[in-house]
Amino acid sequence: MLLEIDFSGETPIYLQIRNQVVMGIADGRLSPGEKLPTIRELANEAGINMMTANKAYALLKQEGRIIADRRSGAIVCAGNAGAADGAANGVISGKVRSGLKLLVAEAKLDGVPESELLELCTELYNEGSI
Amino acid sequence: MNKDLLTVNIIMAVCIYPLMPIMYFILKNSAKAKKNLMLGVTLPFDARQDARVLALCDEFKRRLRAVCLILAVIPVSCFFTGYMSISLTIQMTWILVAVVVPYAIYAVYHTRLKMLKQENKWFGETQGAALLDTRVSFSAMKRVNAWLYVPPVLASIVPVAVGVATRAEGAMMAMYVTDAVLTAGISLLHKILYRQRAEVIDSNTSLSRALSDIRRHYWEMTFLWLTWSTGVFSLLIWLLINGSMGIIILSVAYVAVVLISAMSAEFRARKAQEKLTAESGRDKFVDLDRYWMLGLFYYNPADKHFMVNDRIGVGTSVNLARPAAMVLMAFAVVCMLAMPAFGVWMMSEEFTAPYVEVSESAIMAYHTGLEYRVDFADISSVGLLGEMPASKRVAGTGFTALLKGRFNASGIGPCRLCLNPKVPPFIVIVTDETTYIFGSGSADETLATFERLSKSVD
Repeated sequence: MLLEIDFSGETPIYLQIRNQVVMGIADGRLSPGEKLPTIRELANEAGINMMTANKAYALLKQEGRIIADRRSGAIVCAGNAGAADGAANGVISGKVRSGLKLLVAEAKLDGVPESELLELCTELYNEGSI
Repeated sequence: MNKDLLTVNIIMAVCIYPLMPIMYFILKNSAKAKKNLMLGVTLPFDARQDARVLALCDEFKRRLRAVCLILAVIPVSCFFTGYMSISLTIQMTWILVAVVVPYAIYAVYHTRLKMLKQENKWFGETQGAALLDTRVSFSAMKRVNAWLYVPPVLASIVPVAVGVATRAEGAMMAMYVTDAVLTAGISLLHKILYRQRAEVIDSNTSLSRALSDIRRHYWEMTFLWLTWSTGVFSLLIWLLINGSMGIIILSVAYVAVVLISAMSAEFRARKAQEKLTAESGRDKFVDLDRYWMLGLFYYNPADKHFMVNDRIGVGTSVNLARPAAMVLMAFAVVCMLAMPAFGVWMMSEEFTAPYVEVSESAIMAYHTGLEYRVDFADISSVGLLGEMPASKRVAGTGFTALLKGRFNASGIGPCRLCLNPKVPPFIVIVTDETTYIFGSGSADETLATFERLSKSVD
């Protein structure tokens, strides 16, 4: 999978990495069990600080998206097994709910019709193989 | 033209002349599309077929050829100058011009192509963003067997070991140690490769892997060749140390092997890159043009790397946003500018006439300052020499119009000179320790000084 790091963007680099890995898992570009680069490799390839790469992986590990250890690097998880916030499979977590709530509010303020928003959500949900 | 000057001119020509074809072919090749780049500008597939782009590249190639042909003639003028300092100044200035002028032409056409790109909005989706493929990593790639570097390093240590055992002369030992350090240094330098990035130009993982593999292969081949040729050179120079012509031939052969192997790797890699990426740029592609000033200098403060991959070929460049890279670049610029400045200094040395002065107790030879002082009490005999015999420089300056320093003159032996060999006669002063031969800027001056010296010594 291709990771795109925008150095001049407003989103912090560790979050850009985290977001893209999550999207990659969701749309099937990253398969469960697939090996990701080690922290050192990721930092080297992206030209970023090791701390930044470590922060991205720590977040993904905390969310249960990857299993990471110093020796074998990081491996993509099948689901959200081991998620630290206690979210279970099939249940909308508080984090998703609050994130979605904000997005819906923004769309509402921008005048996006409900039907169009739902249609977009369905389309995005069905993108990829997961 | 005297024999020494002719020899120096031939050696210099052999060493510096390859610069011109190298510059020409490297820059000409940059106009061919590879890795989505033409003249250092990232272009999508369609833009690379655009008639305006192709016309601009053709114009660049024509202009480059014309300038390189003119530049190629300049070093020939060295063979018509009668003075070594003028000849060396022309050659050193030429090196600077032969690098700067072709790159200036490249920069002009790069800028024009970039403007065309902006007018037509031929931008990549990922403009300014670094792309990395999670499935391709350079540091994780298979490494060359480190044992392959051991034999040449050992070969370069042999002269040092024998030199220590036989208590070789200081200058010789310094040369053996330098060669050994150089061989070991080059063998270690290949490791820089594993700190480089994988070559990602679009979302095609197989392509990224192939491009990275090409870089790895040619980089390793180049460094293996370099280490082996330096090791073998160290060994042969030790075996041939008594034959000066052998050393010159060997040095030229070494430079040729190094240049040919490096250039061959560079062009083979470029050819492979051209072939593999011919169809790239139709979809998402990497566009890092904003970080490459004039298509030559990388400046990206967000990138922690000091060294970065050259955009095409197998070379590396530095990130000028890093302070160490700025220092390195400044050092390189100073070195380049120092070459013509050094030439001017050499000319001032050669064309400053030496002169000899007699005081109450000693004779002094001056050039740019006091060079030698010989007390009358130390002088065994003095005499006049009508013509300067053939002499071999041991240490000092050996120009057409200036001999200054320690020499070995035929029929005289070891001596210290401060004279213009074109202006006889010369004053010969013999002491218990060595022989001095001095001369002034004119024959009359030298004769007058000799008379005064003869009276004082008597």
